[in-house]
Amino acid sequence: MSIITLQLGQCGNQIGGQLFQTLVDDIYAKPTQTQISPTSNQEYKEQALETFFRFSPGITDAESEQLKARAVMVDMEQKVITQTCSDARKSKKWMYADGQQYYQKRGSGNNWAHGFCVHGPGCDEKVMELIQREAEKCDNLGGFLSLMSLAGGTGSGVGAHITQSLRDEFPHSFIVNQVVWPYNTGEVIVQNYNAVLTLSHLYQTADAIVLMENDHLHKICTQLMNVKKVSFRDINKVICHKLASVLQPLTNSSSPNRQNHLGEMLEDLVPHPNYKLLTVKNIPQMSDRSLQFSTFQWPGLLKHLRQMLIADAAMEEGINWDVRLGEETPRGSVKHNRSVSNMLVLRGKDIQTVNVSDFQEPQLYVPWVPPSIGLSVWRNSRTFNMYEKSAALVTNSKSPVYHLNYITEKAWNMFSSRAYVHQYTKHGLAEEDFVDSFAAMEQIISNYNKL
Amino acid sequence: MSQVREAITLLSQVLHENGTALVKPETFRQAKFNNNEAVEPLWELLFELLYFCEYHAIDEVVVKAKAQLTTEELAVYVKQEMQKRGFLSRDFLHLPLDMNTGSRELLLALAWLLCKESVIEKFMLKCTSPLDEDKIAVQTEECESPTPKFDKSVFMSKKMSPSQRVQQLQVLNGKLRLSLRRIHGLQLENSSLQHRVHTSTCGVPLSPDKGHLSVMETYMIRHPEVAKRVLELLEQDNLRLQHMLAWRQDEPIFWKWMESVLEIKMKEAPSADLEDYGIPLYFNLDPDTVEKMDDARSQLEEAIFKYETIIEQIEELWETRRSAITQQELDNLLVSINMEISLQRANLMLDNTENMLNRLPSPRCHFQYMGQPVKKSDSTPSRNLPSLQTLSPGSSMGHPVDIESEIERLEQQLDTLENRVHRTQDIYHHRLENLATEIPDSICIQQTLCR
Repeated sequence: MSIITLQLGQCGNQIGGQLFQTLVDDIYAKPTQTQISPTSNQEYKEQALETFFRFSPGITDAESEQLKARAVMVDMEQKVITQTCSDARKSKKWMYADGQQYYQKRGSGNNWAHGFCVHGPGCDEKVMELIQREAEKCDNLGGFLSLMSLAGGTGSGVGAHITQSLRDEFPHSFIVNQVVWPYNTGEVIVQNYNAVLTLSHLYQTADAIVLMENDHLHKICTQLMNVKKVSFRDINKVICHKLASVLQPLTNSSSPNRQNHLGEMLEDLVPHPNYKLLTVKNIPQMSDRSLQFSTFQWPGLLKHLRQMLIADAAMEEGINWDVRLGEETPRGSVKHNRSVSNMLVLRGKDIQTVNVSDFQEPQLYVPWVPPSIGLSVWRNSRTFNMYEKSAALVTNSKSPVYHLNYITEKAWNMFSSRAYVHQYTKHGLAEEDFVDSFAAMEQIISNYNKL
Repeated sequence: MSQVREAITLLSQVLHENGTALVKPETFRQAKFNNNEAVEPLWELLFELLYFCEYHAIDEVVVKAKAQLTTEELAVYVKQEMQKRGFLSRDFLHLPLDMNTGSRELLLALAWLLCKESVIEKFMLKCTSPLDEDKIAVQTEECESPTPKFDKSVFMSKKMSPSQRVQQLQVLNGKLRLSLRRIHGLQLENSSLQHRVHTSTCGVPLSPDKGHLSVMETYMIRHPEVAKRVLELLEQDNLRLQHMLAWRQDEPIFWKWMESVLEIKMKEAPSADLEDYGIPLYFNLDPDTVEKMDDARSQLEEAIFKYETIIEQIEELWETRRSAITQQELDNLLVSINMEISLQRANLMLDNTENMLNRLPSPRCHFQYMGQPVKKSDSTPSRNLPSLQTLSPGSSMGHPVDIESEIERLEQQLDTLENRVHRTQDIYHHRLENLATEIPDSICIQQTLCR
């Protein structure tokens, strides 16, 4: 199976570069650190490479073969793409294929309408051609992973447009959009507009939307990774660690022949068309230095992870342990974070002995999803990214609703006084489009509130 | 006698080779004499063959079913299936369900099934060359995994509100849709990989009508040990086919023998109780239909009796008249009879089809036109018809008629009419000439024959 990564906008390209680097680092980890037999390590390597890279003959004779990322890079400015490409080349392990980049001279200026209505249609044909070219090089096209931000203009605006075209071009393929949620105290004044417009459009076309919230990621960086001055690079590392821990090869624990193809995962995670928002929680996460002095036990890890799920905590520190299953408010709604579906990923030592029954309790799930459908467990005994034991949980639960509400409200407040709207309408976006998007968001919020 | 033994041995061998349990040739012989020892194996054999007719394979399901079903269930199933296929022997249907007696009936039923469903031909069709199929059958065997089991009780037993039920259905529906898309992707992968095998083996054909190797062939070239296994399987198939061919030749002997079985049955029970019909077992007929059918039957019988005497009378008349008739008279008679018959037939058909074919000329003008040749004072065909209709109770419904035969019939009718015109013309010519000779000094100018 192969996944084509679409790197959209500045944020998308930076994350993309980091994602491939993380994957390669994990794939080419020293065999002594993998804790599995050389043959299974080889299998793991082949499968992971097949998913994200292709081999192509090198230009000079010295390089016999080169790893090229199955990626299409799109930005309206050249700077970031060039930077990402050269970073990749410097790693000597992989690179981007020439000609799979699309850029223009001028950015979208954080204006969603500029990206969606102007740049989007302008670059559509060319970008689709690049994607098609990449798709033809896959034996089994598992789907698309689009990386983008919600706040900016290019990633969100052009990204939303490209996702629509992608759906038209590949009606049966799986499309997952990974979006980076802006800081609540955001740097861009119209970020809430952009986020509302993007999410409402993506919700119609994408199969799943993976949310990465900058606020949470920032906290992880400062509290868990002990980074003093958090840069986007640090945040991107955390994002990519989360993504890779889910996307690297896994086998299903109930039927060992199933592997974590994108389609298989989506089938388990987003079966209901109204619920498409996914969040990734993972444990443990710490700086390389403290990692060397730490040991973990599976029961402890899973206990934390489970509490992170029900108390909706983004990281293992500062979890509210008071939240328990089964506590209901007088009006019948539940206090804990209920899920439509969960995907539990276990990697590392002794995973065969792990007891996952805590995640199978019916109370964790909405009444109309039996736990046997709601939970899927995937394993791989290879150590992941230097962690001897690690667990990740992809959850389709109520947890995004707080942020959704927050940005929708803020955007609506701005929209009711028509602030900055003229900047959008001048690029061809009508006020009705805004209203439609708000309506769509309200619908999503109300759906998630019902969980 | 030894020939018969050989043929039966061959049959039991062929059946056994195609998956049924081994039935000894001796069993067949015992069954001929209604020996009770042969009862059980024959029931089971019938069950297996019926299963084969239904699902085109005799697999482990049959073995399991045989072990799990009680003798009664098995017998009822066999009876039902046989009846569904049209085997309505009452003796067979009234066989006791405890499998103690009635081996001869079972043998007859078995022979009927072999003949009716051409079981042996179906066996033959199943032996095809695996090389032609572009699938790797060997591998799929290994890949088979138990399908993930959903806890059905969780699904059905829980009391859910209608809205929850709808949500659940939506979840299941979504899962199905995603699965379908995944299958679509796999199908694409399959064809693209197959294409690659075909293009890269281009030019090394094993069979004359293809320019490349099939996937299976390529696989076997790479894995000679599999090729050996396939060769063994093919040889087994070959042997089976040879046996079946031999059976083809010896078949008549077997059927002769079966005739002898039937004869014995007739001898032992010469007068089967015709009255003891009853409703056929295992058919969900409501008693009304049966009554109606009986009525129709008796009506038909009456009609036959009624017209039998008439036919006899006519035949007698015919014999007496035949001797005392001249050639000329005979010809005339023949023509008129033919015409009458064809007109009657036309009349009958028209009456039957007029419901459907409204565009045909109205029946009244037709009747006027053919009233003449019948030359009966008052029995016009239109009055004759109802009496004809009583012949067959179902005909009042009107039958659809093949248009070709209809056209042919009409053409015939046209021919006869033309003949008549010519003859009458001739007659009047003669008369005219006679008259002309009687009138002196006149020249008769005949009208030219017009067509």
